[in-house]
Amino acid sequence: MADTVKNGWVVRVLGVALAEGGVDLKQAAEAWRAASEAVDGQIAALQAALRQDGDEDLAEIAEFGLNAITGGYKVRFMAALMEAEGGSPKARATLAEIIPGFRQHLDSDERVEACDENPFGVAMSVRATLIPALDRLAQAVGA
Amino acid sequence: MPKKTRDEFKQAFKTMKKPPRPKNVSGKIKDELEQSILDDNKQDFASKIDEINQLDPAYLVDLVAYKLGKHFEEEGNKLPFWHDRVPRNVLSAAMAKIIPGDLTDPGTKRMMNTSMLNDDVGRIGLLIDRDPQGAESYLDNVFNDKLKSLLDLAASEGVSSVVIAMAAQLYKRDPDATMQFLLDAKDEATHLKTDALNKSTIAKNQGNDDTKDAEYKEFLRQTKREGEFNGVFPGMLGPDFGKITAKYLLKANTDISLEQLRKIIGNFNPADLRDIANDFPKRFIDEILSEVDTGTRQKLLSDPALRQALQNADKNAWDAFARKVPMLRLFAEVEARRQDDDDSGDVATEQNHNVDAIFDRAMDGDDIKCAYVGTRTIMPSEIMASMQDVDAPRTDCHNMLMVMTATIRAYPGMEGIDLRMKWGHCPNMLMTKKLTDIGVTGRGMIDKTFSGNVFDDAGAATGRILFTGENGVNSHSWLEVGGKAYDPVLGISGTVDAVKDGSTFATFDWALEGLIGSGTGGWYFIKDDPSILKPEKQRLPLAANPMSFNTAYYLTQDPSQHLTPEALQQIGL
Repeated sequence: MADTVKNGWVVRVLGVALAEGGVDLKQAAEAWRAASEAVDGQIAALQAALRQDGDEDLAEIAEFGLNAITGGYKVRFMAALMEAEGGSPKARATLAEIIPGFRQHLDSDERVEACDENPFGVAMSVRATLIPALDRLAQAVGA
Repeated sequence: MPKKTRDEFKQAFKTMKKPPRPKNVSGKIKDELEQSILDDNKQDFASKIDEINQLDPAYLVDLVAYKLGKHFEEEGNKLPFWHDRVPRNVLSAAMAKIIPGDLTDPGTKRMMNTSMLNDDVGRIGLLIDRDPQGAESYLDNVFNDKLKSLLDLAASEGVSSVVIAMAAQLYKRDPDATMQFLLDAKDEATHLKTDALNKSTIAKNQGNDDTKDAEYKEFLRQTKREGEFNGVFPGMLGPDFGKITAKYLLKANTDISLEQLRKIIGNFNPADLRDIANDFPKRFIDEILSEVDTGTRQKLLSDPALRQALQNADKNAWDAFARKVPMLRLFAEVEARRQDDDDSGDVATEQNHNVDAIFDRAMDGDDIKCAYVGTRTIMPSEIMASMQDVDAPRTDCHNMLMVMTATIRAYPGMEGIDLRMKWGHCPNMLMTKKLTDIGVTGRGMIDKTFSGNVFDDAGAATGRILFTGENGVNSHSWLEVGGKAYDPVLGISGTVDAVKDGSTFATFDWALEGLIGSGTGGWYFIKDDPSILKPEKQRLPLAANPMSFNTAYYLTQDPSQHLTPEALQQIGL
């Protein structure tokens, strides 16, 4: 079946509009938010564990360091996502620009790795949770 | 998944790791850089930083980020080197590595909140460096008392960025009260500094070492505090605060605020100045440009974009002002002439035509009035931008070239002209042709009706001038642009060779220093000095002149007519 026919069926039967790549932005965004909230919860748990440890360095990381694991991408990313969902083509393009860098950061940053492999008994899965959600958004916006 | 150890976990979060030195940056440079800090040698440090920046800018950013992190908690002089003495763009890039998110980022904002609560001015300073605009918005919501206490604390600890940010924020709210607060705080610091030093000296005399040390520490703290308050006004001249400061000083509209603004506005960045011009054109013209010193006026008016902004914003005020300033009068005339010329479409050609027009107008018009004097100099800004109607200011040829150079640079469309403009000069002593044979009489700074300072064998004036320069070297200069020379002193222009040939009779070197010159064409000049002249020689009749030609010379091909035997022997004749 040609893509246009497939898309027509999805719109008619499921009532959602598909992006060019076949992934709906709204659904991808919701999936991202769920993933992001899950990771926020993990980070909060890790923060609590670090603060309770009594080690000054770890308290410092809890206070200031964990924020850095999203590498300064998160706020820009969330702002663009919200606008893209509102239908802004410019925001959609911005999102497509941000995603590869954000993904690269999550995939390679040693702080992300350190969180996922932390020795404090807190179950973390930053990469495993965020990267698939990000990939889905990438498909939706054609990044 | 293998777990990290505690140390590995901590290591991952260490702010910055030491960056590996790339191959193109030698260990020697790096060692010299570190040594310059140990020696407290700021000049060497800046030079090495510059060198590394040329070789590998990315490495320098990593290095600065690492050093800022490393020395942040330390006492001592290392942090100020890495923070205050690296290029601004390098510092910004390094800060972005240390603190990835700006102040819209919740984590960064939380860091700011915590730092404010703890009065951690060092960390607040880093956050301000990281995101100056975000910090400005953040500080909008902070109470005056908190701003003042942080300002004072930052001054005591020498954290300039916090001092400036807090002061700028207070300015926004109440400029005059802030000015007074800063002046009072500075006076207090000066008083406490002196007091602490006195107490330390007394304690030393009494053998009370603990008190002596404590008071001396207080003396150093107050000295730092005083220095920060002293520096706060110039410190506000950064790209992020100049505009705010100027606007609020203008709004305050008191004598003290305007006076302060006149003192500092010359260092504002061009974009801020244009903004101020757009917002307050008439006040900018009447209360600032008309009242600043001529150096500042010339500097500000040398930006074509600022001139255009003022003209666009209030044409009447601008036109009235422009009629009073020599360089602006000249520009108006040149622009009028150039409007009639066809545009060649080639930047270099257009610039050459502009230079021609500027030179012609400077020579033929009375916009920039300047006559020649050999010994007295007047600042170029006085000639270009004085609003006093001074009768024919005088200057020498080198200074006049500075005027020409600055005028050409300031004309619209002359971007990059410096690459094509240079000063030509006569390396030794130059004797002109008869002044009346050079170019057009009445054109040029020299009065060509002057009978000259050179006399023939019979003692008659030749109409020539001998320029001796700096004890025999660099006696005359001209401007060269695009292969063409411009000589404002003698009022001629043309190819470089034509200008030289058109003005030069002969060039000379000393045969007997200060007294006799030996030149091209077998010519000699002999100073009118009884110590070398035959006793029967009369003093030469040098005409009184306002150009400070006070020494007369014989021009001869036969020195034996004039010199004593001893003098002849001294020059080997």
